[in-house]
Amino acid sequence: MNALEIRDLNKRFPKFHLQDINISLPQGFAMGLVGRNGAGKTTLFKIIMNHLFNDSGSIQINGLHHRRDEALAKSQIAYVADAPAFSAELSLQTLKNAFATVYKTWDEQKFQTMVAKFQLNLRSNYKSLSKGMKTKFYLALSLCHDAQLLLLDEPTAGLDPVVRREVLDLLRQELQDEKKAVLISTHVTSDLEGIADYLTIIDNGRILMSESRETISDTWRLIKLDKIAPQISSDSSIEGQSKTAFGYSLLTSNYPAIRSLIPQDTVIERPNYEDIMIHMVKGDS
Amino acid sequence: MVEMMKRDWILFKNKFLFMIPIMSISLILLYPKADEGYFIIGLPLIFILPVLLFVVDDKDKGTQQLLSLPFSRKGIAQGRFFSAWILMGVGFAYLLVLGFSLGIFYPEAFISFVGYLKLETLFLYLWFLTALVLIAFPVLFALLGKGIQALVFVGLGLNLLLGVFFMFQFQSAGPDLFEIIKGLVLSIRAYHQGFMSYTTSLLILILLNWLNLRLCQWIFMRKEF
Repeated sequence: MNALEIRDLNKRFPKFHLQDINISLPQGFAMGLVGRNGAGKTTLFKIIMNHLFNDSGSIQINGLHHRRDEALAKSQIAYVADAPAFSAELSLQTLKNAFATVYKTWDEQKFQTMVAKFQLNLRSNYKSLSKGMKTKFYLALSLCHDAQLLLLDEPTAGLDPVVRREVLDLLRQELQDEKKAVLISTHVTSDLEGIADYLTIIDNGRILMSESRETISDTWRLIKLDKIAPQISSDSSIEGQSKTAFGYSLLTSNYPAIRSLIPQDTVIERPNYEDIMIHMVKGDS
Repeated sequence: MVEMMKRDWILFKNKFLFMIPIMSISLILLYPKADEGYFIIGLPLIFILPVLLFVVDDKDKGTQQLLSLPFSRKGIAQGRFFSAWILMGVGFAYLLVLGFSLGIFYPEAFISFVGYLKLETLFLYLWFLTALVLIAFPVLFALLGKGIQALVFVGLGLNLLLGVFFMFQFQSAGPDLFEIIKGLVLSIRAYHQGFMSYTTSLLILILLNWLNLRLCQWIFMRKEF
C-alpha cells in the first residue's frame, strides 16, 4: 500500500489549472516535489489537506480517502505548511497544548527533547520568534505524533544556512524510521540531495517528470556538445536542453538508448536534481 | 468534538473577550431607554458572536490550522455549531448579570448625561448604518464573484437588523431617523404587537439564528481556504 496515492487530480482556477496529477509515494520513501514559485506545489498540498477541493481525481493516504475518511487520514499526516497559520499572540506552550490534546499518539518526551535541542522557550510568544525558531517550533509540533506521512511545504524557505542544515538533519533523522513517507516541496533542489528517493518536477500545474533516484542515476545523463545533431535533439528521450558558454547541454532520460548517436569525445555527466530542474523547466526546448 | 471546541476557544478567545467590552458599552449607552427589555439590545450582539466563528480569523488562519489537524470539515462545522450555542448561553447569562448590576448601580446622573449627549441615538445610527453596509456588502462580493462571503455578510446584516427590530419592540419613542425605517418593520410589528411577549421574541430570535447558523455551516462545508 502506498502512503500517498494521487490519481488523475485536477483543480481549475480562473488563471491556473492543476492538471492530471499522478503521484505514488510508497511507505518508507521520500519524494521531492520541485517547481518554481506558482507551479502548483502549495495548491497540491492544500488539496491533500482538504483546504481546497479537487474538481476530479482521487487522493488516498495509506488507503484512506482524503475526504471520506478525512479525520482518520489526517491523523496519519504531519503537515508543515509554507506559512504556518498560528495565532501570533499565543505562547508556544499554549500552541503545544492545543496540538497535544488532539493527537492520541502525541509523544511528549520527543517534543521536550526537540524543544531542548532547538533551545525553544515555551513561555515565549510565537510572534517573538525569529523565522528560523518559528520553523523549528513548527517542525517540533508537527513531528511528535508519530505521523506516517510527512507533508512538508517548503520547510527550509527563508532560513539561514545554519538553521537550514539543522532542519535538514532533523528530516534525515525522521527518515530513518522506515515506516514514514515524506513529500517535501522546495525550489532549492540542493535540499533534496541525500533526502529524496524520488524526484517530481511540477511546472505550471503539470508534472513534468517523476522518477526514482536509482532510475535517474542509471539512465539520466547530461550530454555536453559543441553543436547538436538533429537526430539527437529530436530523440524522444531528450527531456530538455540549454545553451551554455561552451555549447549545448542536453538532458536525456534514457542514455543507453541514444548512446550510439553520441560522438566518442562528448562529455557525459550524471545530472544532479538542479540540472534536471533547470533543463526541464527553464530549458531552451 | 470536545477537543475541537477546546481548540476553537484557544484560537478565538481573544476575539470573544474583545466583544465583551463592546457589549458592555452598548448596554450602558442603551440602558436609559431600554426599560424592561434592556438586555434585548445586547442579544443580537450575542448572536453575532457565533457567526464570527464561521467568518473565521483574519486570513482564515484559525480554520486553516484546524483543517491541518485530524478534524474533518463536517466535524469542525458540527463542533462550531455547538460552540456557538454554548457561547450564546454564556453571553446571555453575562447580560443578565450585567443587567441586574446596572439596575442596582446605575447612577441617575449618568443617565441624564448620556441622554443629554444623545449617545444612545448616535450608537443606534451607527448600528443601523453598519447593518445597511453589511447588507450592501453582498452586492459588492457578488460582483467580485465571492458568493460565500456574500452569504456570510447577509447573515451578519440580518442579525443587526433584527437588533433594530427588537429595539422597536421595546422602545416607547425612537429617534426621528427610525421613523423612516419604521415603515419597513411596521407591518411585522403590528402583526406581533398584540401578543408578542418577550419570550416569544426571544424564541423567534433563537429560531432565526438557528437557521443562520445552519446557513453558516452550509457555507463552511463549501468554503475553500
